[in-house]
This record gives sequence, C-alpha cells and structure tokens, in this order.
Amino acid sequence: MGEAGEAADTDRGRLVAGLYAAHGASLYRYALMILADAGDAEDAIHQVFAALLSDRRACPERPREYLRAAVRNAAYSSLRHRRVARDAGHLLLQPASADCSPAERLALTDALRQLAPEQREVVHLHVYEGMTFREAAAATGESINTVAARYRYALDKLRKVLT
Amino acid sequence: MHDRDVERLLRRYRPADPAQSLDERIAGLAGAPTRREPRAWPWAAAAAALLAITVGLHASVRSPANEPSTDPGFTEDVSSLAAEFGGAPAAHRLAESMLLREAAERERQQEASQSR
Repeated sequence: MGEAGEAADTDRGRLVAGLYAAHGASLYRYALMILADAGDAEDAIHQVFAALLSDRRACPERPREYLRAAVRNAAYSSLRHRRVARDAGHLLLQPASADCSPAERLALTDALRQLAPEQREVVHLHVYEGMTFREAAAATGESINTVAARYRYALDKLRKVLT
Repeated sequence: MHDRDVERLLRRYRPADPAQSLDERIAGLAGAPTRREPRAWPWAAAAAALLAITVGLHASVRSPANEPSTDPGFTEDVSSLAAEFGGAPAAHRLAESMLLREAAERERQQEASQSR
C-alpha cells in the first residue's frame, strides 16, 4: 500500500471514529431497545461502522439520520436471522434518578421484553429521544398513525404487565 | 395505573450505555488498514501471509498496544485526537486505543521492511 493509500485509510478511520464518538452511544441504545440484547446491539453497531469504513463515498450530509437508519436496518435484519431466544439476563435499562429500585428496574426490563421490537422502538424514540410522533414516523419510514398506534399498544401492554 | 404513570416510570430509567468493549471494537476497525495491494502471484501472497503471521506473533508479544504509554507526546496526541472526537470520556478511550493501534501497526511495518 502506498503512502497516499495509508493516509487516506487513516483519514477515513479517524472520520469513522469521530462519528462513533459523537453518535455511537446513542445508536447503541437505539439498537439495544429494538433487539433487547446487548451482544446483538454491539454487533449491529459494529456492522454499520465497518460498512461506513469500507465505503469510499463522501461522509453522509446528515450523519446522525444516516447512521440511525443504517442501525435500524442492521437491527431488523439481525432479528430476521435470529433463530434462538436471547439471554434475558441483561438489563436493558439503567437508573436515571435517585429513587429507582433494583426490583422495579427488573420488572420494567421484563415488561419491555414482552413488547414487539417495533413497539420498543417507538417507546425509545418518543420517551428516550424525545421525538414527536411525526419525527418518529420520519425516522422509521412509517405513518404517524402507525407510530401512534404502536405507542398506544406498547403503553397498554406495559400497564397490564406492571399492574 | 394510567398512561402518565407508565411514562413517568419509564423516564426514571434510560437505556443502558454500551460496554467499553464496543469502543475497543470500533477503535480496532478505525485504526486498522483497510486497503490491500492486489495479489500479483500466488506464491507472493503465500510468502506475505507467512511473514505477516511471523511478525504478528512477534508484535503480539511486544506491541505498544499491550502497554500503557507514559510518553508525554503520546498523551498530548491522545488529548488532541480526543478533542477532535468531541472530548467525552468515550472519545478519550477511543483516541487512545486508535493511537496505540496505529503505533503498533507502524512498528509492525518497520520490522517487516527491515526483515526484507
């Protein structure tokens, strides 16, 4: 490999690393909520950044949106190929306030696992990323009605499981 | 329990952060060379593979990637690259991991060229 090739690789590597540093954690949480499995979520993120590294085209204009769509595709593709039930031992959530209890966290994680991936996705986008239904619809390529219905069914199920 | 109670409960938690192993996997990707020279002859490819295995085994024993660096220049480089990546703790870990891998790769290439 020539010096110019090595320099281009280093530049591309640093660009990808910079995108990961800026968006990686948030993308991982998104993948985790769709897949409900930490290992699969890591694999989805790894797959997306590996593809970005080998893609010689210019950096996407809106990297956050581009990466979110790529992670979504990787996560649903992983679900389609999943053949065995996943380990339910990993807790999907971590406390965000001081008055949380381990039992409550476990119960909420179990309840979230009982939702369909599409329902967990909408809960994540609306509750944890603060998106409106319109924004969540744009991010997922679904209609606003579909997104709102998924959220409604998700809350109904969570309420039933938790009471 | 009403919808607002469920939402309030959800908001007291947030999705778990990634493990440090993910940072390391991405740093491994980003710090690794991705382009390869086209193969000229099968024997040349076989010789290169044998050389890479030999050098790789040697480098794995004394690679800088396995040793924490105390070089002030290295620390400055890490800080500078981490700042480029946004400056968060994850950016610092990523920058350090990438620079260690780059140093290891440079050393591997120097050793390979000296052994030719």
